[in-house]
Amino acid sequence: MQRRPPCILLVDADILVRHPLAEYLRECGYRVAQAADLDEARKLFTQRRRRLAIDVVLADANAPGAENAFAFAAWVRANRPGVEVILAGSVDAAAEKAGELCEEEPLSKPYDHQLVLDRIRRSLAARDRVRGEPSP
Amino acid sequence: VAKRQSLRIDFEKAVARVDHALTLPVCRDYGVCGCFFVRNQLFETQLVSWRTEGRVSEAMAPELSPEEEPARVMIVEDEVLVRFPIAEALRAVGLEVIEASNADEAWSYLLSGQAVDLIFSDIQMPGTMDGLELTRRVQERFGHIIVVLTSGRRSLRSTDHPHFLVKPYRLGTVTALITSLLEKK
Repeated sequence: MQRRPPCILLVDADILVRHPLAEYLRECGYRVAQAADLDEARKLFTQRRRRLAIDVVLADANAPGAENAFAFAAWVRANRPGVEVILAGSVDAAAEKAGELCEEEPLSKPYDHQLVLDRIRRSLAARDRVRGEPSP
Repeated sequence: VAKRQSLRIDFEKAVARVDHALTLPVCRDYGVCGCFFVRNQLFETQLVSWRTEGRVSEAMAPELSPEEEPARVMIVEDEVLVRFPIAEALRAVGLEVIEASNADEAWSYLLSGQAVDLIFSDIQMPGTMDGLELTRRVQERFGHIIVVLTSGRRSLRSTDHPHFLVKPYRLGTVTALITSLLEKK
């Protein structure tokens, strides 16, 4: 049976950043869901119909929403323990806080697509190691 | 080398561990140099770069014809749980789909110079403009783009726009309408 491609939830308010990165990740074999803000991201997690199996969240640390990206990351960590969270941003304070919530330091923006891909692969591999599953 | 064009490249020493011919998608090119990602049979991916001097030549002419660029459809919908399924359905029929969460975002995308063939837009959305205003601007400035409007509001169903779908719609209805409009284009 073919394994489903990992699903990345990409959260970024800027369509000119979000769309090219989403297309790039699709070309690399991932399924990509896009959210323009954290409220949309939360909806994609909590919808009941057609529930989406998200593996990795890649969110801009400055993404807008009723809650900030760190609160959202904390919610994901608490409620969806199998989901990896990667925050992206450039502010030092944000970086420090992101370091407390995520396994690795935040990605810097503007995005280097190859670095994003490497980070997603590492996150998924780390998760699969913990679960005892082989990486795709 | 055009985007999405396929090439067959023989590696000599640049990638010692992958010394057989591969078919690979080109992701980027930069004039005389290029870089792309190689996916081998084990699904290991490596970044490879080359210079045109003797690295890739006519002798290694592509065996595959260049793929046609997919049509680009922009969905403008503020409800992500509506936007995502329709975007996925359109991708499943081979279209490139740009997801805009409101008309302002869609307009800024168009102004950035990105090509779009068709816009599928909700009418009522938050922001400085609704779908009708977006349509007016698009028709004024980007007359070649087809616009399909949708709404669940009874009062907006009487819009005299030539391409209009009533919400709730079936995904199959939307994909059939959009692909048929693109084929006629």
